[in-house]
Amino acid sequence: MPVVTPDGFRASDNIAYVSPDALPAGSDLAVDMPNDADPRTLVERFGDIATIRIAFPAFGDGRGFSLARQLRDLGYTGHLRAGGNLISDQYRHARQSGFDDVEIDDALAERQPEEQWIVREQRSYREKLAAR
Amino acid sequence: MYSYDEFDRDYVKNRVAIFRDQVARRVSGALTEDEFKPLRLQNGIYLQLHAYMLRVAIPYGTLNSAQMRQLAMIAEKWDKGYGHFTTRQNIQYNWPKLIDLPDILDALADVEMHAIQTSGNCIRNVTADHFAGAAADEVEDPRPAAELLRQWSTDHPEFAFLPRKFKIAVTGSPNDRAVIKAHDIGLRVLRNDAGEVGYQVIVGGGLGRTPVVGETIREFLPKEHLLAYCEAILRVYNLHGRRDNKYKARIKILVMEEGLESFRNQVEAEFASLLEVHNGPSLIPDPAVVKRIEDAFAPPRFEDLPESDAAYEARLAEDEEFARWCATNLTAHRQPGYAIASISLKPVGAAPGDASADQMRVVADLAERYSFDELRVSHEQNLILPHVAKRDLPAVYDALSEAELATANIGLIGDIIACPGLDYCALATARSIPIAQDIAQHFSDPDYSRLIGDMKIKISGCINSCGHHHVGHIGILGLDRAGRENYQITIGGDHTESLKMGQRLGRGFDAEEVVPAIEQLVQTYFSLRESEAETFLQVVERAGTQPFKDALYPAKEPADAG
Amino acid sequence: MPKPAKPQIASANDLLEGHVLYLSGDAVWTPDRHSAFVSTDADELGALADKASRNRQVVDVAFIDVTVADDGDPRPVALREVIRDRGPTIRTDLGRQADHTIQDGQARNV
Ligand code: HEM
Ligand code: SF4
Repeated sequence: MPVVTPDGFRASDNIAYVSPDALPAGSDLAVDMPNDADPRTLVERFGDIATIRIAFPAFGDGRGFSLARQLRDLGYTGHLRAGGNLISDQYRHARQSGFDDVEIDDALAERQPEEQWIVREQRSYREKLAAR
Repeated sequence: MYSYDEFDRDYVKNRVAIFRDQVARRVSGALTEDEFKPLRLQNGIYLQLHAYMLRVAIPYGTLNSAQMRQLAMIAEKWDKGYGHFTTRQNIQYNWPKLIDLPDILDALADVEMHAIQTSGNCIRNVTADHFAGAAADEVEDPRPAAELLRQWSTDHPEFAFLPRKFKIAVTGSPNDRAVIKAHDIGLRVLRNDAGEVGYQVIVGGGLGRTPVVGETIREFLPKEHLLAYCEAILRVYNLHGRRDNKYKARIKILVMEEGLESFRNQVEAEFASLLEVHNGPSLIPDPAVVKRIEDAFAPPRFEDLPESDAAYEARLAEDEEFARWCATNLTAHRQPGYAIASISLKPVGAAPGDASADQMRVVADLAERYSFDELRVSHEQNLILPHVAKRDLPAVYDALSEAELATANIGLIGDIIACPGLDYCALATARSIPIAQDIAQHFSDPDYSRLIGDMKIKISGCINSCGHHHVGHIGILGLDRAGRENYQITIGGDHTESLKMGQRLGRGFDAEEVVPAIEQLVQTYFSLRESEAETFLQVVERAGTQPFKDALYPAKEPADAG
Repeated sequence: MPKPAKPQIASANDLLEGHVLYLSGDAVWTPDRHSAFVSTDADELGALADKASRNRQVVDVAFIDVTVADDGDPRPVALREVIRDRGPTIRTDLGRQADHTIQDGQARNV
């Protein structure tokens, strides 16, 4: 399962994910977050979380983009990964919503190889509108 | 008028390049049809009955002559010589080929236009009062807000894959000409007691199979919080709107299921946290950007003119046709000596909203010469010259007459809204345009239609209600009844600030029964009205629907039989 | 009682151009309705359509009810399909009804 990063594809790291409902003690956690979870429940533990992976059950289901923004808005600065059914045309949305990378399956990687994921130079209107 | 800055230009050109690439990848198989469809929809491309269809945005209904000429050029070069202006201030081409579409989008970008987000489950083209910047009753021009929203919503990374489409409309006047209460978000510019300008925010309105009148979620929103508040609404909707059933996926259903209070609390909480987090950075827009937009909509350099003009008055006195056109097609302008001139796209026999390339050019020339290079598209499927000096009205009228564009029926029974219906639309259950044509033909006598007075007939070819039938004084909904086209009639709908859905009168009618039924309704109105000043809608409100039911379904046929 | 299967033909739109196509008995997507293959067996139509789609990219494949005229010509039943076959009823100068290569049964396999 490749991970798409701004530098291209790389092999997936074998992380052991835990559920956000029952976070174990300790730090450096990797959390597998369904897209109907409430990110506010994690705020207390942000310091212990190294990675959050948000699920995209279908590419037309855009809840994950809002969740990512909410996490970032709440102050989460760890690694943020989108996992599941995203297509290359959504890569810019993922990046602009605060994701660091996107995990896709092998079949999609074959159909949409690396060069199709490279974001065209496309600034977001958010940058233009932002107060300086 | 707003003109693109470098960012806009690069952005739109780049989107065309991305789409060109997407078409190539669809052809190569890198994109499946399921994946490609939402991408083409986000560029305004549908597949209809006969061909693809392209829907081009005319943001807040404003365009200049160069843009109108380019629309004409596209109609001739890549389509069949005409376009269809819609109730959402878009223009639709019915015959483009997918392989030509990247070139068409490029041609649009050349004149600072695009088709981005005119379709798909995203924030659609933002619409506004078509008299913006000219209307006498306006608090403030709503278009700077609409342009700001256009920029904010364009490719908004969070909101490109919403549960369903999302439509925003803005008006700057207490008299609502933008149907804001039938939109997902409706905004009205108003002044509070302290004299500050802000917005009344309405949410959860819509037509379609579940018509809902939008409700006020915020009585007064300070101007600078427009984007943050909309972002909060959209975020709550994106996270909680239903995705299990396409017919329950609009925000109106979420608001209904949660209740306005609970929905408002969620939005206000999200809004508060957005302000806290960003404390300015991305959702309080850069004042320089806002100022550039506001400056772009500064009023044109009007001349100091007397309230009226001698030549215009003389023509009024001697030319009955001209006087008739002025009586129906002109609206008061805020600037002395000027008028707002509506150009009816409903001549008898035409498809409502259709304009040929030649007609587009005539209108473009007139705008350039007589209306500070500005044109408007109304949700009633007409075109508008917003700033015409009264002195020039005779010349404008003569040019329009020559191009068969001087039909004097604005606001009258012949000024019918109709969606494309089964003649073009893949979702239709019945035809709309031929019904509109039959009605317009029947009521073509200008004296008769003036006698009837203010009358809005709105026709949709299926329950999706693109033709706004729910809010027509008379609404007509085309259905399929066992393989036959069948038309249901509602009355009492109101598309203004007092938005109301019409009530169904009874069983539907065959196509050829529709005109006699409308004539019945008109006769019933005549028999009920207390004076010529009492409009059809007022009579329905006073007398109720029963007398109209009795007229349409006499004898023992119960009104609710089908 | 199982419903008697209705005669159907397969129809689609050309991916690149968008125009209406029908499926012929030799597994070709063609603009020519007169040569459309009539079947009461959806599986048979489906298999034939898949085969034809390997040679021409189409979208929105649908099976539509027809009646078969005495000369064997399949005629769509639903008004929607009649209009789709011909063109807008309000503009007889547009659509397939205005294309003589199609009306005369000489549709080229463009
Ligand atoms: C020709 C292809 C069209 C298609 C496939 C189409 C599809 C739809 C659908 C599915 C809805 C219902 C949405 C819902 O309730 O969730 C809808 C609503 C609507 N459409 Fe269209 N439409 C088309 C053309 C038009 C045209 C030509 C206009 C303008 C004349 C238009 C304006 C609207 C409006 C105003 C609504 C109702 C407002 C609302 O969204 O609730 N559409 N359309
Ligand atoms: S109301 Fe129905 S028939 Fe009319 S354009 Fe909308 S979807 Fe098509």
